[in-house]
Amino acid sequence: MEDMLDYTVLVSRYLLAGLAVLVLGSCVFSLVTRRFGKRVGSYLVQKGSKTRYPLTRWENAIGRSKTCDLVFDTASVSRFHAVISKRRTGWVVADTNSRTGVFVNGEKIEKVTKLNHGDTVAFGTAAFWFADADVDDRERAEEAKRLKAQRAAAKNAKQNKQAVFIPALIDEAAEKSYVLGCESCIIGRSPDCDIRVKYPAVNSQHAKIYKNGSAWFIEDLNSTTGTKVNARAVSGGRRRLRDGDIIGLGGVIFVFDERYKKQ
Amino acid sequence: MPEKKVTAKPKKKQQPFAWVSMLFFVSAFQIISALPVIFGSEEINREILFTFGGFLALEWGYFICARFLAEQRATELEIIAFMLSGIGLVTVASVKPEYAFKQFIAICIGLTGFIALLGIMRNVEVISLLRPVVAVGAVGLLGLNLVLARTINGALNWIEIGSFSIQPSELVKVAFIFVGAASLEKLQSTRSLTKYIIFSLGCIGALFLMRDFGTALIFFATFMVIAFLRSGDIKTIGLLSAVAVVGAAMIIYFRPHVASRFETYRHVWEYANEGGFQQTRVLIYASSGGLFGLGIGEGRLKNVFASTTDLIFGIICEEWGMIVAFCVVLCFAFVAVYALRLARNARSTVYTIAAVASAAMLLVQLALNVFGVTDLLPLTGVTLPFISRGGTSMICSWALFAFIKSADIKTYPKLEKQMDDA
Amino acid sequence: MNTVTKRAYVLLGIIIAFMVGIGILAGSFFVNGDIWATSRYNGHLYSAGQITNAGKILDRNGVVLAQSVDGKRVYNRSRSIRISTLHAVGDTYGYIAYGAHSLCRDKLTGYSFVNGIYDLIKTGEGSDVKLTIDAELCKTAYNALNGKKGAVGVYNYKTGEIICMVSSMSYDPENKPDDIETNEKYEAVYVNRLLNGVFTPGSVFKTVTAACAIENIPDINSRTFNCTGAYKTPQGGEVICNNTHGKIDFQTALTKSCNSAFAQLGIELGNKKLTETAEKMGFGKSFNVSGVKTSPSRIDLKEAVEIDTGWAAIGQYTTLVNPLNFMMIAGCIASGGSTPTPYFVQEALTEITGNLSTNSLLNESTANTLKTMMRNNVINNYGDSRFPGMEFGGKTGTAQISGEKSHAWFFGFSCAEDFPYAIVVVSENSGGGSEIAVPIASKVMKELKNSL
Repeated sequence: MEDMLDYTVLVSRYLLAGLAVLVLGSCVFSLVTRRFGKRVGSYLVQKGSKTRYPLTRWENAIGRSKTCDLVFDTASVSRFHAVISKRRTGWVVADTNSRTGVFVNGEKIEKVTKLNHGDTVAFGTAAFWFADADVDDRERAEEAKRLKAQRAAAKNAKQNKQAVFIPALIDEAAEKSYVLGCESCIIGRSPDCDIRVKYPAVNSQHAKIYKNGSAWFIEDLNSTTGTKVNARAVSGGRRRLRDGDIIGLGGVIFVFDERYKKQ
Repeated sequence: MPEKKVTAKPKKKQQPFAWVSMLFFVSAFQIISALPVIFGSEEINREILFTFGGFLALEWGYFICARFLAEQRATELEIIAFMLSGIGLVTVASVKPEYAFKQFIAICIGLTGFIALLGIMRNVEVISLLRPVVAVGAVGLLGLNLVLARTINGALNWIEIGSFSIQPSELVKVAFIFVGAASLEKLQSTRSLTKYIIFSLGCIGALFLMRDFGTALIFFATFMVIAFLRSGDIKTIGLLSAVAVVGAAMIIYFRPHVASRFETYRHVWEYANEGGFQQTRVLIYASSGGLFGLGIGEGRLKNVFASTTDLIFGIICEEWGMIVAFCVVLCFAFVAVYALRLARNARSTVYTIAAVASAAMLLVQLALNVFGVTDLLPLTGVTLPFISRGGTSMICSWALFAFIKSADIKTYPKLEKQMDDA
Repeated sequence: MNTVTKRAYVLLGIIIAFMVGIGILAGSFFVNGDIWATSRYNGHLYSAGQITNAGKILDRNGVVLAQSVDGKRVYNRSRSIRISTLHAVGDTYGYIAYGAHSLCRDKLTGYSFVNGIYDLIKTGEGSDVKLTIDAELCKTAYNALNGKKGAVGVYNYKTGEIICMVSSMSYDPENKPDDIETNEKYEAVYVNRLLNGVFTPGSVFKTVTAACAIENIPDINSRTFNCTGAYKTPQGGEVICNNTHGKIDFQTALTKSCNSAFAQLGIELGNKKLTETAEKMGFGKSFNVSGVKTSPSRIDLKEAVEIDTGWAAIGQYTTLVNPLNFMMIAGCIASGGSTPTPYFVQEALTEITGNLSTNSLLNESTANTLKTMMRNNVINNYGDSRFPGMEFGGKTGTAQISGEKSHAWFFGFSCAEDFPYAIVVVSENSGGGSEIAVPIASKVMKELKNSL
């Protein structure tokens, strides 16, 4: 018994050090290499331009100051105008001593006020629709699904005719459609683009859509605001476009309608 | 600039933390270290045996509940806390067996407080609601302490209730951070620090009256961190620290008790049997232990006054070896790195402030303890978090970890779902 | 929130500061751990201020000079060995600052950064330390000093090993005298006089003057000096000689130790050249002998007027020399100008072998000239029979001390290839070099010769 104890003592010196390094080391390693995901919680959609401003945090400072999470460099917005935060009950907005006030659905708020999907929120004169990303994404996904189903049905109906179609980009919000009349179209704000889109979020030469064989592809032209297909970014390389795909050019949403009209 | 590019990284399947195997290793570590304490003397020490049994049961119980009832997937922080508490418990049991059970009870209370605080910290609304209550309670507690306290070790920072003695300053540490953490709308709407400065001055002033300068220093450092996080106002903070330096100089001038500590600072070997007694003994015995230590219970530092509280770092070095000792210390530094990363990605400034302030407080306290007893800093007599003997200190350490953990979204699986599901 | 989360980087500053602190702490444990762990306040090693647990200290032949038995430190059984080796071995209380007990604390306690003093505590044994000294020879040397304060040192000038290191007075560490602090007999008893003593050199300094003359006066060997019992300096001072030597040459002047001749030479050479030569020969320099910094020999002729220079040239005035320095000079003369730094802890051998730190105290030609001259001193004056078969060369000294008896000096060397030893003897306030110091040297060297 005594010998065994001595032996244990002898070995335990090294064992203890080893176990301490192992346990504390692996815990600490696991802690410091933790990955943190980031996700858009809600959007502010500017009235008029319909630009979508994403809110990525649970607490977002809004104001004219460059240090804010969302910067609106407009005279009517104070430097630190308001805070939009996600709380247990949902999204709320608080006026943080702004000069021009915060208005929810037209009423000036005095204390922390709840924001619902679709509410109008205004900072001074800058007015926005508030979109809860959860609801918004769901609606958009449903819409996309519905559209897809519609087109699929249409496709099936037309398949027999073996006709060649000219596709178009449909801006459903503005109720406008852009026909892709050429085999390779540059999309952008600039007047010499094949398809001119007048949103501030879209770069002067934003993306290229072209036909290769019978399939259509999209390519991002190093735009600053990014190009997405079905909410997944196209960065470098190209992406095959299918009927009903949702294309986001810097937050402006288009639907790709492959069978817009017959040739 | 409109819609920023928010590309979620492709989600690789993250290796799940192997908590069961980790728990086995922790238990192995604790059993091996406890063996010489339990079986070291002629008879088996039953009380300590039961205490350890209880401790292991608590540990396994917590992790099983956390895993299956609370759906916790990230329990590294608690493993670290249990590991450190275990080292402290074994050391206390080997040096002062009569305190082992009390230490175990302190761990139980600490863990309960940890869980409770995690619950409170779940929602920002609850925190905001409780903040004024806690602030008043903290100042009240310190005031009560001043009235009731009796002098121990030249500081007046204890209250005796029955057989338990409470160190209110440790509890107020938790309150201090709780009150300091504020949500963004609050930070933006009241940009002045006046209220918080008044509260802090109250706390730090009370500590000065208790002559607990070490804790006052920890409070002050934490105050600076919180004040900076809240306002980013370097001018005010610079001014405050200038005032503090002048104040410190005045204290040294008027209080010989403090000045004598500075006298021996960096000259401990000249006062090896007077003012530098504790530091020189820590250096001697810590270096005697080498990398692997002399074995638990084999040291001699334990015979020095305050060995299980202030000087426990020396005991760890001597008996457990420098590898374990430095692992423990470095572990806190990495927990602070984790806290920093959490703070960067927190869901509210409440958690940013709480996590950063807790980590800063732990590190400052650790630095004052470890560098104090080894004469790199003046000796101020503060405890080593989780390891030193002392119930209130243990509760405070667990609470600080709770602040850090509450900043992690993984702590609240339901909230996490809200964040991830879409 | 970006503003606040960015400010969180203040924590990074704290973390970095903390890590730097941890680094400094770990570094200082690494650098100073041996000193700290072997501190006399360490209860594992010391009790009541005494080393209790540590390894053995052995002499070159394996004779145990000190060891730990049952938690107590005991020394060699022979009282005379205990006394004669005390300064090399050191005491357990640390009164003798530079004995093996203090110098080799880390080795004796078996301290290592990795294991601390674990081995010592588990086995009760540290590592042994072997000294280069010969205990029996030390005993002979100590007894030969005959109760007079002084020092004897013998070393191998080719390897640097110190064979004999004795400092008198000494005491028995197992029976420390009560009056050690008060009795004048024990003045500076804790100092190792060989390494840390400095004495007025008297005539042994003439070797330095001679070396200076050889290097600076080309026709020195054809010069003659006229000794009339005193030398009258050009400016009217007078340096008295021990005898009236008449007309003598340079070699005879050294053999007879003629003050007139050397005072004349010294004045002719001047302060600057004398100082230069002395400094080349180790004056003003401290040698590291197994970790002990020796006390440097001192010469200061900055304010010396002509007569002072005359006195300084024959080893009086303010000049003070360290015995070990002269032992090394003897070694240099014998070996053609340079010698390794002496050491007395064996371990140093392995450390040094690859990287022997040599001291070049003389030019080779000067060394060879002096070697012949000092060899002639022995043949013509002290008697070759005193150092049979050793081809010995040397020089005595009789340093006058005002109001007391002179210090007796002798330093010399064997030229024999197979017996490369040099010796220095200094006996305080005991009389003339030839009468007192030479017999001591003779006795020690004879014993050394026999023991090999």
